[in-house]
Amino acid sequence: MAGFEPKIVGFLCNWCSYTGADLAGVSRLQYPTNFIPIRVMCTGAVDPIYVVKTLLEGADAVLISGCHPGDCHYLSGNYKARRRVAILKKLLEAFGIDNKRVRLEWISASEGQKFADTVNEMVKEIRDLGPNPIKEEWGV
Amino acid sequence: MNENKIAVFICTCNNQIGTNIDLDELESKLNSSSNNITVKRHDSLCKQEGQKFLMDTVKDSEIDRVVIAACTPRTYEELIRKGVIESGIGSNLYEQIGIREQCEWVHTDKSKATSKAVDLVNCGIAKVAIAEKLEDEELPIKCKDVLIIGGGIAGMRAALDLATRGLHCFIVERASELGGMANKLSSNTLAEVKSEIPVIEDVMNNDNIEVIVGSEINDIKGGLGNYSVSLKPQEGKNDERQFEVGGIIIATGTKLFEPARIPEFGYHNSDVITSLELEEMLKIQSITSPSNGTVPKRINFIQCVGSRDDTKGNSYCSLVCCTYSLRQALEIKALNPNIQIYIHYMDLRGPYSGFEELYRDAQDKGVQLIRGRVAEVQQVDGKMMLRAENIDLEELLEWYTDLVVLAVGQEPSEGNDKLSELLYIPLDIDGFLGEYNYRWDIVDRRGISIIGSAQGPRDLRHTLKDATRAATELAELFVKGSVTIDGYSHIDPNRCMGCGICVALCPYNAITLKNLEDFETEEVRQVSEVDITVCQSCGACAMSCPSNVPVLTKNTADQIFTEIEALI
Repeated sequence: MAGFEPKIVGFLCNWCSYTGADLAGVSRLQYPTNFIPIRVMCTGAVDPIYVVKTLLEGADAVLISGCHPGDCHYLSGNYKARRRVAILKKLLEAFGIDNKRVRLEWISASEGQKFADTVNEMVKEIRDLGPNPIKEEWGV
Repeated sequence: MNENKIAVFICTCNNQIGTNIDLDELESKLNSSSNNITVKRHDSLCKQEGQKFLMDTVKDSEIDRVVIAACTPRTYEELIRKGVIESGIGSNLYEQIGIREQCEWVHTDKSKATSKAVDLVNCGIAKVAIAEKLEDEELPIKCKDVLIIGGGIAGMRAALDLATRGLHCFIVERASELGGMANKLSSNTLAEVKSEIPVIEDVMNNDNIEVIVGSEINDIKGGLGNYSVSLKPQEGKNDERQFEVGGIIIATGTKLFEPARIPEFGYHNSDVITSLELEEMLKIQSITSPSNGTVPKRINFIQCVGSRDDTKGNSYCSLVCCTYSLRQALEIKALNPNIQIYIHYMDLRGPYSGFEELYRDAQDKGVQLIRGRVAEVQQVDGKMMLRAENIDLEELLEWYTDLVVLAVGQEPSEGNDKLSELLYIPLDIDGFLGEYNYRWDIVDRRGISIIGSAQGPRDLRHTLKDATRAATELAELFVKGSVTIDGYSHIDPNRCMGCGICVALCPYNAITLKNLEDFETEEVRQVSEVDITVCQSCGACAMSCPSNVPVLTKNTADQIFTEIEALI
């Protein structure tokens, strides 16, 4: 699988993780270009369908990241996300998709380093894991 | 097919963008992707000339969708957005992409970074291309009265500032009189902000201000321009007061740390007093040991009582104690230079201006500053004995003292949790009411503002500044008389089945079931209705609806799908 460069899409919550990613930028922390963010208002507003759609479109992994439990800007959105992702991972596994391909991470606005580390780690992990199997099967 | 004309503005942030992203290539790639797209470049869209450039371009080229590739929307979106909105582009028809923080600054490989930037901008283009103009985003503000919770100096300042602008306000104060903690402060402490300190009589006699003392908030419902407030009955009365307001200012302040929680410091001794009790002595210009009424020879200050102490107090620093202890020491020295003063501290912290001068002055006047913790204050042979350490000299201290002043920290005011629940304001890690968008507005989109030390310990100057700022911003909003709601959830009544799942899930109780009469069958059925003054656009309803009816105006599911497609 030499030369395989994964494509990772991130759903970042506006209040914590997107700002955390901004902090990574302000701090000039480097991470690979494999990661592309989509800004959402809240992890609680990430419909599991968005994740499935992203994987079906051919992304190799999805990161969902929001405020730490108890810190949600909208009080309880991240708890809803946590439950949804737990179920989604089980479902995806049943369809033969490694659950490493969907990752939920709590990154606050002050955790630029954690954001960069998470992306670096994820890119490395997915590089080892190989391309999203759906790509070949569905021909996307 | 969509024939909207889309303008992409690339802002170079005064050459901060362009080192790792090849802007020429970005521009040509975007230009070649569609005929509907116009790409423009500017050095600083957030400046006046940038705003003018933006508005002129939108006007000249008859643009109806705007994408901005610049710094992160989390910093300058509000500024850049002004020009976009002024040109008549709806709030959901533009998108700002943070290619600076999310691309330029985190990647060094130029070709890869450029292609990522193209992806990011394409994603924004895809998003605005399918957005539809909202019909009516301007909402009139019905009620322009203001509720002020807390009648300390912050609340009173805000009330006076609102009243002079012709707005009517209610001050609800739990205690039996106005003034709060500042009532107990000596005139020297208040001197710095004297001209701004509100006078209680001015507040009481102002026709635009209604003062309700001895009462607390019972319930608050509604949203911007439309709050209904009910109060608990005043002591000795039965009537539950109810009134309507348009905005709310929270100025509940703090309470002092209860020093008896640290028994070693011997607060049960009458000669161990808190810094606020010392203020009361300074107010009458007479320093005495309470036990025998004599002038103390030696006074020991203990800093950080209940602050920066996880085991017995709170983990945070109360910010103002170092400054006021130094000021108090100087005041005592001015009254009686023969009194020996020792200040036991961990670190001297002075976040506000003027601290360094106080510090030097105190040293010049012979106030002894001793770095180290105090172990205990004890009665030995009828005298008070203090045991402490001096870290700098590496020695243990054991000496008699006539008066001990505990520089007590501050804690969240009682009832904070209730306000947090009623108004959906998250508490921060220390239990204070969380600050809002500190970089921009002090008044949030719901017309609620938290001022003064309700957000955490704060000095007088900043407390008063907060109050004036909140009053100014609220007045500006109310005088304008209407507000543009930026992003909310829209529920189409014709598609809603009235199952009520979203009603239960909405964290802000913004959704209610309303009766709707079907035009053809004349049947009445229930449908969900969103109060957009309360809605915060979190998306809980949109995610929970079995028929996918609720739509976030700024993040529709279709928009996210096209974004995903554009990225991959």
